[in-house]
Amino acid sequence: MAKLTVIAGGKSATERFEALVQPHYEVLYRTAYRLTRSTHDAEDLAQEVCVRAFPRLAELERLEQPRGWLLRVLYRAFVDSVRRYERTHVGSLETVEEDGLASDEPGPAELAEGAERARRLNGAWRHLDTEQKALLALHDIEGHSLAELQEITGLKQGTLKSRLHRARVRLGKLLRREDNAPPVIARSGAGR
Amino acid sequence: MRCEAVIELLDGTRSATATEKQDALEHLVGCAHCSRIWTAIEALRADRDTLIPAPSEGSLQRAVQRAATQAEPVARYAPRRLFWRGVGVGVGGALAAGLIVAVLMLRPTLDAPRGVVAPQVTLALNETRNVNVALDSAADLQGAEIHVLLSGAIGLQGFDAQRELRWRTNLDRGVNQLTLPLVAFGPGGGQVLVEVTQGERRRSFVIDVRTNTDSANVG
Repeated sequence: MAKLTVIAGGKSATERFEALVQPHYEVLYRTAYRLTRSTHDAEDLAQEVCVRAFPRLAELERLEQPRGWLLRVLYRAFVDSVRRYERTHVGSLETVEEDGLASDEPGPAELAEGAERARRLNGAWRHLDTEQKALLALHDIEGHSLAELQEITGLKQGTLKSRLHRARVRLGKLLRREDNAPPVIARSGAGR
Repeated sequence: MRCEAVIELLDGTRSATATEKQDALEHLVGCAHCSRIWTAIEALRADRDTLIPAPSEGSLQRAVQRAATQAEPVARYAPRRLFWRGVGVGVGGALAAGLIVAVLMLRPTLDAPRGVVAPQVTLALNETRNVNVALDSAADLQGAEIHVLLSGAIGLQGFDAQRELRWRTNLDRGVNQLTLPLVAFGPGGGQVLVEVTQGERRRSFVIDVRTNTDSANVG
C-alpha cells in the first residue's frame, strides 16, 4: 500500500510556499484587480487563492508552470466569493462596489482621460454577472487565449465562445447606456 | 460579411488582410450588434493600459501567513483535515511495490529498525516547522488508521500537550501529504512515530527530531 518518506528540506512549508507563489503573485493580484476593480477586494481574492493553494503545496511543487493552476484557483475563488457575497448581502452589492471604486481612483490630472474611461467601465462592470466579468477580464484585458481560458474555467470551447460573445454584447450595451447618461456637473462656490 | 467573422477579424482571433479589415470596419458602421461588441472590446483593451494601484506593502507575506495559519488552527479540532491532503498522483508500480515491502517489515516502535536510517529533522528550540510526510499509495485506501506518537521534548503546534493522535481517513491513490507542525520545546530532541494501518496491513515510520542545541553538543 504505502511507502513513507520525509520530504521536509531545510525550509518550512510556509517558506517553500512563499517562494513558489512569489513569482506569480503580481499576475494573481493584477488579475484579481481586473475582476474585482478594487484594491481591497483584489488583495482579499489573492489571499483566498493562497489559502486554497497552501494545503496543496506538494501538488503545486510538482508543476512546471504553476501559473495556470493558480489562475484556475483564482477563477474558482472569485466565482465562489461572489456567490457567497450575493447570498449574504442581497441588495447591497452596488453600494459596496461603488465605495471600493471611489477609493481606488488614482486621480492625477494627466491620467484624467484614462480615469474617465475606467470610471465608465467600472460603472458598467458591476452590472455584469460573475462569469462575464471573469471571461472579459481574462480574455480581453489580460489577453489569455481561448485555449488558456478553457484551462482556467473548465468550459468547453463552444460554450466559452458563446458566453464570451454574450458578455461582450452585454458590456457594449451597458457602455452605450453610460455614454447616454447626463454628465455630472461639478458645482463650486468659487464662481458665485 | 458575417457578424461573427467581423468580430474575429477585429479582435485578432483571426488574421486579416487590409481589404478584409476595411470590409469589417464598413460592416461595423451599419451593424448595431457588432458595433456594440466593438465598443466593449475597445474599452477592455484600453483598460489594459490603466494604471493598477499597487497592492499594499507586505501583501504577499500576509497572504502566505493567512494561508499557513488558517490551515493550522483546524488541526486543534480536526486533525484529519490538517493532516491529509490527498493529491492523487500516480506512482510507478514497481518502485512503490518494492518500497512497500520494506516498510511492511517495520515494527511500530520508536526504535529505528535495523538497516533503516531514520530521517532526521533539526529544529531550533521553540521553532515550529512543518514537516511533510508523503505517503505514496498504489491504490485508494478506505478507512486507513493513522497513528502519530511523540516522544522526547517535542510537540505538535496547536495540539497543546497531546502526545498521541489517532484517526481514520481515506488515502488517495498516489501521494498523500501529512503535515506535522513540529516544535522542539527542550534540548534532547525526540522522535515521531507515524503508523498507517488498514486491515491486516500496517507500516510505520520514525522521524528523528534533533535540536540545534544537540548538534552543538555533538560538535
